[in-house]
Amino acid sequence: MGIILRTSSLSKNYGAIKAVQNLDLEISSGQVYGILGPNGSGKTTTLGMILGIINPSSGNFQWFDHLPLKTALNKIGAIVEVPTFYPYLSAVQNLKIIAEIKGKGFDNIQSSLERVGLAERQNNMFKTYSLGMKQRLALAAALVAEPEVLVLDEPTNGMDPQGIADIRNLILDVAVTGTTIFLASHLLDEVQKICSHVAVLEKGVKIFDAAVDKILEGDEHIEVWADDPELLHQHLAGFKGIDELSRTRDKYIIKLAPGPTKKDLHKYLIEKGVYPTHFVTKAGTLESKFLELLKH
Amino acid sequence: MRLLKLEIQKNLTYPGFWIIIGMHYFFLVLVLFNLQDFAGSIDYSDSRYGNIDLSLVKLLQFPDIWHNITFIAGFFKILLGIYIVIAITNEFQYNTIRLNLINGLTRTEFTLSKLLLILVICMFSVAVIFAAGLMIGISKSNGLEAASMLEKSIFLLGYFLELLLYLNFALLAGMWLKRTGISIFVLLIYPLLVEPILRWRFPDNIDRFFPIKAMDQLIVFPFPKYVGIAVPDTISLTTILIAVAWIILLFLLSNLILQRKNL
Repeated sequence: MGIILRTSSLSKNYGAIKAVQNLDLEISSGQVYGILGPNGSGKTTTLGMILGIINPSSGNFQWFDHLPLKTALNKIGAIVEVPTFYPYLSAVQNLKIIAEIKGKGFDNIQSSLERVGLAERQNNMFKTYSLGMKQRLALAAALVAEPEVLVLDEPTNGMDPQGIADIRNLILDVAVTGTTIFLASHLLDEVQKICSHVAVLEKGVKIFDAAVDKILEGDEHIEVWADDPELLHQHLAGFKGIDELSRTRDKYIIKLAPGPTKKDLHKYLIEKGVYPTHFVTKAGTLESKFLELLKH
Repeated sequence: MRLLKLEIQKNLTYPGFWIIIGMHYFFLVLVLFNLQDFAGSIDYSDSRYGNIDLSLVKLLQFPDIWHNITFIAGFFKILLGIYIVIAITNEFQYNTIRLNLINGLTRTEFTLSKLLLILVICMFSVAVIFAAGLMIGISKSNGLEAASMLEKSIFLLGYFLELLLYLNFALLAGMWLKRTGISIFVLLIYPLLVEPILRWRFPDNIDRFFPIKAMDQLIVFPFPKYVGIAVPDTISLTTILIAVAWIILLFLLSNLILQRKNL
């Protein structure tokens, strides 16, 4: 396990606009690290800086523990903002150019295109592609050199639900092979599904970072309902391990205290003669946490 | 070299390349091989021409031919310049520069690859002129002695440097302005208007240090010599050095501009 990327007080100003301020990040090998924030919070600028296309105003960053940027970029596959390719060339020709730049052979081009589902349109010119296809080509380009690190800026931008699901699965597949993934998004839901760690940016400042599991820990609650709600209510009131109890039209929402388990609650209810028709564990969502965070 | 392969992949697949570059060589060769006929259509007996013998046969004989055809070829370089501008501004317009940089090409490598493109075009152009010159010259000559054929072929070097300088200037314009239309505008206006105005006040001694003038000095207007006015027979070392200096400077400027850009 090594540190893949470390930034120290990385900043970027555009005149009076402070796009990124004193950003400290640390990404370790194998993580799927999400950088989360509303539009304009500095995500794309940050990615631009670590990839060398935007010059930082101050601060610095290190890839792979002090590797020179050019060498580092050889191990990285990236998508930044809107995919840009040579419009008069086909997917295959564009990928050949990329392989040439990276000094790698053309062997992976076919398989990368298949992985992202572009095999059929591979010989058509880029300018004939829909936004979803462009995004897929960008992903193929990022994968073609079998990178150790993927840097993705809003990879599901402009895709339909099927496309979003496809990309999500592709990312998860890649993550499983040990590739480190650095992802920027404003889609909380996607980040929650894919990422192991997350940092939250607002107006260029990192306001929070933690492992996703930690954030969601302790946020679980249980939904219960039964044929006889009155009876249910009565016995819930009698159960000693409940921290919070609230009710909507068709369910009770319970937050358990540390100690008693769901199984305990379930057993208790059955012993009391209440057979739940609905007994579901709901994990916390990043969305609620995030909105909570932004209120401060 | 991989940079060269890159440029081949980017340019040879671009329809604009074949059209513009094709036009350049097509018209160049067309004109060169038809100079004869053009001269023939002038009426020498008209008193305006005085005692001049404008028989183009002499123009196209060794060793004068090199100076003359390289001068004429110079008129067509605008087409090459336009293509170089397009090649670089395309990378900005489509933002494919970003694609190149993200995948590990350094900014210096990027400018170098464009320089390689320019060099290949320059070398190919000289080769074309050389071949054309040989063919035309041989068809017009009385005796064939290798020595006199290649005499004054220094103008081929002059042509090479002229193109190299001009195309680096085109590269700089495109690199700086990023947009095709305005870059081509500058490419046309600067040599025709801006630099002559800048040079106006200066005497010849200082003039020759300006980039376009330096380029023009390489191959001076050859025809007055047929009217009895002296015209340099060769290219002085100073002229060459100044041209080379400008070539290097223009290239470094292009590179510098790229280093500083945020994309």
